[in-house]
Amino acid sequence: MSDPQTFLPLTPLSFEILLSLADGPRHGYGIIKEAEARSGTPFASSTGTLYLAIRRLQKDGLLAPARSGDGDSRRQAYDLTELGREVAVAEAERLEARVIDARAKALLSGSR
Amino acid sequence: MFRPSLAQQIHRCILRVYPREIWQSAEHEIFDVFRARLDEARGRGTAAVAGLWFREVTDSVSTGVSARWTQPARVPGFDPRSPREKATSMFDSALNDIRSALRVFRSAPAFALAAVSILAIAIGANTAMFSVINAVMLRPLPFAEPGRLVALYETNPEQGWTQAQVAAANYLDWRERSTAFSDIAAHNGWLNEQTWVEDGEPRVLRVNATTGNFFNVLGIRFALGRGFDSDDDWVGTEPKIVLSHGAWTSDFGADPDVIGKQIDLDGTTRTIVGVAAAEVDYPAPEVDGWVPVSWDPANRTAVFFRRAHGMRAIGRLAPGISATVARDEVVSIASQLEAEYPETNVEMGVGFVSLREWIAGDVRNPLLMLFGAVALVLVIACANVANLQFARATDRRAELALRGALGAARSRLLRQSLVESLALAAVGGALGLGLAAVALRGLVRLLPDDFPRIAEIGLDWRVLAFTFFAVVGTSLVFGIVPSLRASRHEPAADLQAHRVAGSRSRGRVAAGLVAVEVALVLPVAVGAALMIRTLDEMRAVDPGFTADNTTVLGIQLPRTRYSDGDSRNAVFTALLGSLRDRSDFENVALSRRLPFVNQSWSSDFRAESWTPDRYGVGVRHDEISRDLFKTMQIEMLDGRDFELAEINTEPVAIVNRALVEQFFPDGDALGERLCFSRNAEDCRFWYRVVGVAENVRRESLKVDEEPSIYGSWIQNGTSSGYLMIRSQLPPEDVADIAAAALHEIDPTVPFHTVTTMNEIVAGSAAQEQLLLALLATFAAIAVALAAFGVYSVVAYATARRSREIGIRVSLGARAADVFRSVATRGMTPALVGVVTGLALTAALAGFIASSVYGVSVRDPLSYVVVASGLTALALMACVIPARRALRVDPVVVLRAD
Repeated sequence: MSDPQTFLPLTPLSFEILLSLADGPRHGYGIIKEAEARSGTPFASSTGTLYLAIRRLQKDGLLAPARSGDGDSRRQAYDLTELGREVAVAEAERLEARVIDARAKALLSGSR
Repeated sequence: MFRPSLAQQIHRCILRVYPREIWQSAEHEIFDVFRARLDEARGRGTAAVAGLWFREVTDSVSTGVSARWTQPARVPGFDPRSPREKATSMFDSALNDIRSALRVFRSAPAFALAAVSILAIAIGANTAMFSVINAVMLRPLPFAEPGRLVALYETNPEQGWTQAQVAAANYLDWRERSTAFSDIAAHNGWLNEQTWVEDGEPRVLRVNATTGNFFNVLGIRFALGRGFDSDDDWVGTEPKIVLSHGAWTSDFGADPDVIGKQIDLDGTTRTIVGVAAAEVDYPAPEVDGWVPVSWDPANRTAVFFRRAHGMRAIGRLAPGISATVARDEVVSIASQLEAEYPETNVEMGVGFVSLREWIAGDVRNPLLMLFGAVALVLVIACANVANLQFARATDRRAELALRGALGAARSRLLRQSLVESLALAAVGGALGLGLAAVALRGLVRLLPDDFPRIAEIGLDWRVLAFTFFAVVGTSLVFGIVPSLRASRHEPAADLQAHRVAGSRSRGRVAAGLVAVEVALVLPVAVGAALMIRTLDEMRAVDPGFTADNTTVLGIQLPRTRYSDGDSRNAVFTALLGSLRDRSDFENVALSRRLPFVNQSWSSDFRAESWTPDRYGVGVRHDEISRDLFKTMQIEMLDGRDFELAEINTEPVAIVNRALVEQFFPDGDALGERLCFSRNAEDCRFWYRVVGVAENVRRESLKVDEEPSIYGSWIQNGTSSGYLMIRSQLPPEDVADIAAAALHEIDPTVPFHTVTTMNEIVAGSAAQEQLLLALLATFAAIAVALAAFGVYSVVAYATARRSREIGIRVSLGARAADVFRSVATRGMTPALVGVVTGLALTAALAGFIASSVYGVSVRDPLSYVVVASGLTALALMACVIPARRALRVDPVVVLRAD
């Protein structure tokens, strides 16, 4: 299996997709709704761009087609692969390290 | 049939900017997600929907294009620095170009919005027009190997025929003697309304009679079943019918087991043998079915079979045979026939054109003219955007100079500037495609039902390719000059550019562009003005009859049940008898043909008193009942009307004034006997002239009536035509009363058409009205763009010179002088444009000649009105910024320094 580190850093959109799939398979619209719910802002990318990213993540083996988790069997759902989950973790750790750096430079207030 | 929604069509176009592998397998899935987003946005209001569409278009264009650029790509899935896929520096810098180009939308939103809207409107209008041209003239016909199909016609200089219908006997001889064609088929030049009864309700099918090989020669695909056999050319085989896909769907509920079923059509029991594929709408979009011609073999040698020109012939060129060879062959066959049948074939020639060109027919020239007009609009839009680019480039001189000074290569700056133009055009093109899709829906509704290939009008790959080239082309046109200039600056001077009062050469180029814009407006606007004059002239034409308060009902008696004149006359005399006595009907009459709708027949004729070598050619004839002249309020000049009672008496005729003037200048037509042949020995029936009527325009409002002979409906035992009723009652009531009366006489015969004379007259100017509507739309866009061009040049110059103006005002310059000096900036190029445009318009005027009527294509009034209107508008466009300049407070300007 590829080294998760070679995929870093992820683009924000790719990371959003992996993050949305972290707790189970979703279809395209489900990914958008989940991302909007987390961020509280409208999903900024066009639908085509979402699928551009999904296809590429799929091609690199980070996610795979799956049966939908919300029972809507008419729509194609996607799920994280083993590698996808590892890459998401690695990206989260990388970002966390950056956040710690920021905190050390007093860009963020300490405890939260 | 499944039809994608408009949103889906547009979204499909947008998706095409992404690499193929993204949408190829998942187009429906992606649209599904988008539809869910759209539904949700709808819940939040129009602004949310507009916002979603805007994001969808702009983001798709920017990411889609860059994803294509960087195949096999990394955006936006992975960062370019990812070691898995190393980007070359070229890709990297291309990507940067795109990114910075897209930054335009954020850094100069007003400029981007103006440029994108201008381009969207212009590209949209061009795409819509191109879609129509594509459907009518470019798309292959929906037949097998359509390029080898030609439409054959007969010519006759003596009769003035250029593309006449073919006589059946001549057609059969061509088919037998020709080797250059694999086969030649023929069909009637018109559709026949035939009736059948379903659940006690009479219904109408519009059928076309064809030879047995019709479907084979055209290479028509069938949804169900098959076509006819060559035996079906002659009576004796089982009567058959092939249904059109439309009739099968609407009248037979798309029944998959329809093959083998029988319907009683006009008294003949026909077996349904096939259903044509959905795309087949030949010979006319409204065709419901095809039946075999079923000629009587005895006709083969009959004179009328070679004299009545009622067929259209279609040939399929044999493999390896060129059009030239085929033409030589049929021409030589035609001259053999001329020698063999001098009685009917004197000077009878033959010719053909490709079937595609034939079907496009009359709409070809107007379409090309409209396309020319809309292309001018695109050029005006380019000039406009180029001007905006200039203004911006001048503002950005400092930025570009700085980048140059920091080491950016000139080619790189040039490229970036071009990519920026391309990005603007791409977004404009994507929006334009959406506009075109919307506009096409409206346009198709405006087109007449019989518009050639109307069902094929839509967006296809040719249209997308056209839009793509329009985008690339326009971005080059409006982008190249500003780009070259932008990349050429002297850093030292330009870094201080903001202190310089406007570049003089920039002013010259801008003025030149404005002049071009104004000049190109003129042909389009004058075209619209000429169409207004044409419609005025047509409205002023007196057709010779009064159209008001006349209801028209089409009727055709089934010929099998009403096989002789007596049975037909029984129906018609009963019908006229029951209607003409009503006090609320002023007049009731029958006419074989409708003005402007049905072409009339023409033939040779001679008068009994003429010397044997004298004859007349090309007289029109028609069959009418008593009171037609009263009903249509046509003046009777001499003699009398027909009588309903004169059935088996001496044949009678009424002639029109044109015939009297041309052939009986001494006014001795009345009482003369006429026959429809050039040789006295062929004359079996002689018609006594009993009346002379005023001329009526029946072929077209635009054409004076030719010599005509009216025969008596009753004497001729006519079976089909139109009932005309003059009454103050609403047309619907008139139709109901007439339908009830007809139901009393024969409940199985319906009126196949219900309309009014006013609608028929209005319909005869439909093409001119459509041309005017489109030209006026294009002219309005062009005028608005040009006015905006003048305005922006003056506004820009004024803004740049505010300091100078401030100084002049503070030094005591008079307002009028300042005003004049500012307005001159705009008016000089506008006037140069108007003068050049007038010359250009006069040069291009020939293109509209075939569409105007009653007015010269160089009509001085139209030219003067348009030129002065445009000048006045340009002046207004100057006044607004000029007034603003005068309100400048000198103190403020000078202090700002």
